[in-house]
Amino acid sequence: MSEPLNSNGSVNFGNGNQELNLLEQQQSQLQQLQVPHQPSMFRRILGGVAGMAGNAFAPGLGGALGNMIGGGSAFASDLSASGFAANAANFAAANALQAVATQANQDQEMTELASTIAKSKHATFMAIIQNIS
Amino acid sequence: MLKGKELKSSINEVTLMLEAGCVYRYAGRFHEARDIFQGVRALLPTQEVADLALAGVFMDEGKLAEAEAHCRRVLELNHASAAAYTQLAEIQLLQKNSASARQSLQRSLEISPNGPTAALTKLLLKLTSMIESRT
Repeated sequence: MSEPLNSNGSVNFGNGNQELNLLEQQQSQLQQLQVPHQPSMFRRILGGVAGMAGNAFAPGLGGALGNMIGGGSAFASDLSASGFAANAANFAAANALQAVATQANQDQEMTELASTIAKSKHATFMAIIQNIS
Repeated sequence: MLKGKELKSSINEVTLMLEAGCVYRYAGRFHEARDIFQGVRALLPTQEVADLALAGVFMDEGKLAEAEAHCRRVLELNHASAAAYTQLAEIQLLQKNSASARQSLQRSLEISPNGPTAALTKLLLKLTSMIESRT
């Protein structure tokens, strides 16, 4: 018994051949979807957190640290980068607040000093008046 | 000009006039305050108090040149007037001349380190330092 041949010379198995082609296509699609080896979720999150913490001490170091721990994944990199940006923003805001607080303290000190000077001026002049001979 | 017993009996009235002049000055009625202090100056031309009071009024009015002139007059009368140096320093601070103000204050403290003007002088020195640190 001989199987019928296709135009390209392959053996025609009828419906079984179509199923085989479909299976090959699905396998090819799965291979495309398959991502290369990724670190675990725990490592990625740990990397991001380490990145943020590292940025607090040495800006720029956190990103590298986060990438190292997180296995260089995009998630860890993004997390550490956003941590760096947030840290920089916090640092700028803290500096601005510190400047405002310093200015307010100086203004308050100046106001208190002006009040004390006014009182002292009056007391001094009264002492001069009392010393008229 | 008052002399002898007349002066002694009038000191209380002069003191009262000076205090009334201060009240006018603090109320912002500078014209009346000046009239009173000029009256005291006519009564006691050799005392520095009237010129110091007039300097204070002119200073409050923002007439710093006139205020300084009264301080200089006091210093002509008495080269060792700590109060005049302190008043002059305050005027110099308003003239934004903190270096001269510091010199005047230091001179005042040299003359009278523990007198009635010493406390005010030290406060003005502190103010001078604050102004200098801001500029």
